[in-house]
Amino acid sequence: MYTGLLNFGIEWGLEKAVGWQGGSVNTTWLWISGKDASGTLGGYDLTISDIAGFQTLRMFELWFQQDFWDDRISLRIGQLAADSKFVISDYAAWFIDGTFGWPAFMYLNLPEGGPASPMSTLGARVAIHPVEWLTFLIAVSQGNVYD
Amino acid sequence: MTSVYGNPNSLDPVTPVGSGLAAEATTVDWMGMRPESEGCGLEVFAGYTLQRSEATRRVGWRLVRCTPGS
Repeated sequence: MYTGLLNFGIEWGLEKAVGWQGGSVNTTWLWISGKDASGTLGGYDLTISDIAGFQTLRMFELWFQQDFWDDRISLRIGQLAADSKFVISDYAAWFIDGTFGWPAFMYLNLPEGGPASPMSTLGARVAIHPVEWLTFLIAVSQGNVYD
Repeated sequence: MTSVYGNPNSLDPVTPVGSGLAAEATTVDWMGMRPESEGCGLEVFAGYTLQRSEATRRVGWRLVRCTPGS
């Protein structure tokens, strides 16, 4: 049994490309293959794998970001996943175990698991970065990923 | 400029993180190795992760095509 994840995408820095200061566009796609071992070997709701999902090729994220005031404030809108910026530690993303991904208290309580890999929803995110060591993030997104 | 991050030839697991199926992960962190996009007008990236039942491992590499080069 195996699970495979091909992750690919494009980030377009508009400032370098067309002179649009502070703008960028990003899209990320996922090709998930194989089987999720959680159902057959685990047998419970807590997932073994952080990369497993139904076999598909799908767009994961597509967003536009505009930075203001020397990047101290940024606005991101589009198809967003909360787990790319919230809840999960950057260092935990090293690991594939489901324990290190979108946590169980989120995906068991939010509608259809919430906006996390491999699903995302329409939303907007504001980041306020007043000093180098501090960033405030707030986001609003659609509640159910299947709506 | 085209850069490759990670190690496509190595399946070496180096960091035990638990037991059983999800026992190991590599420290080859192609997601974390993603460079800042400053310097890129257009950045194309791709990476692959493989998880197998007998030994959970991440085969990580990340190809970044950066135009124009930084």
